Amino acid sequence: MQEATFLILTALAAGSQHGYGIITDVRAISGGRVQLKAGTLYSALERLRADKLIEVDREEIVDSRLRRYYRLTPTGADVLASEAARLQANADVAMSRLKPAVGMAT
Amino acid sequence: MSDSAALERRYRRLLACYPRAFRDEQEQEILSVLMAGAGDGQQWPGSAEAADLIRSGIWIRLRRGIPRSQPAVFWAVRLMYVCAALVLLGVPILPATPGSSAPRFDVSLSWGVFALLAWANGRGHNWARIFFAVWVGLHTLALFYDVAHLSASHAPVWTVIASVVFWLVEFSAVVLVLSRQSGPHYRHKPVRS
Repeated sequence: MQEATFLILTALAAGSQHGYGIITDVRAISGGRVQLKAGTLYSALERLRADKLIEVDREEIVDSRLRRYYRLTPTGADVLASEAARLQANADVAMSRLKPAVGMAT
Repeated sequence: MSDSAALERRYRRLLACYPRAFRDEQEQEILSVLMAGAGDGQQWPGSAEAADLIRSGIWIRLRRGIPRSQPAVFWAVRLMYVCAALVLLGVPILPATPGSSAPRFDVSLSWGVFALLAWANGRGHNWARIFFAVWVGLHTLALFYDVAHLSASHAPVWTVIASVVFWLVEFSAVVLVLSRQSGPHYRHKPVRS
């Protein structure tokens, strides 16, 4: 799973969000490192909807502009959880192997 | 005209890169995101933003109609685009055989044929599946002819290997589009974008 996809799913894990909300949330989650552009975001959202990992939650009109809110589907939550577990396991191994090296260096 | 109206009009022009069906559903929403992210007094889309919209629009055009629920078609279409890219990159689709009288494939047209057939197969046009099978069949005959006459032609070994690898890619695509799993994709009404 690409990092942008992982971050978009993570942004939706706590609740539904609209497009601009996802962009700002992904920036916050990644500490400002990942700055999604609108084209990339909607390309990813279209693919995630086709794969049934996300779905439209509701629509609102704010300042005469359309806002569409997206949410994770149960399948999307499962996929995100398994990807997070995989990354966590890899990170745990990396950290456990780094500890002796760090200990020797100090 | 206000700055925001001019900016919105320019964003709309960029969104023309997207398929019509996508624009009908998403244009207002993307515009609201683009305008929310615009700076005060901004009249022109940023170059990175514009490039991203164009790239994404073209990508969605290529991707639309390739159902992931039909993995055989999904991978066949991807392989066809790989063929188009390989031809564009100059990979020989037949060994370089000076003096060969085998029917030659016009390389300048071949990449376009592969791209067109990938696009049409992705949308479920049955004629595209048949055309692609015939196209690869002709290519196969030409390849066999050239390989049979290699000893007399002194073709460089690398062009023979590249041609065979290329043929394996396109042949895999043919097998996939002609497979039983692909059948339902071509029996539905073709996707319009």
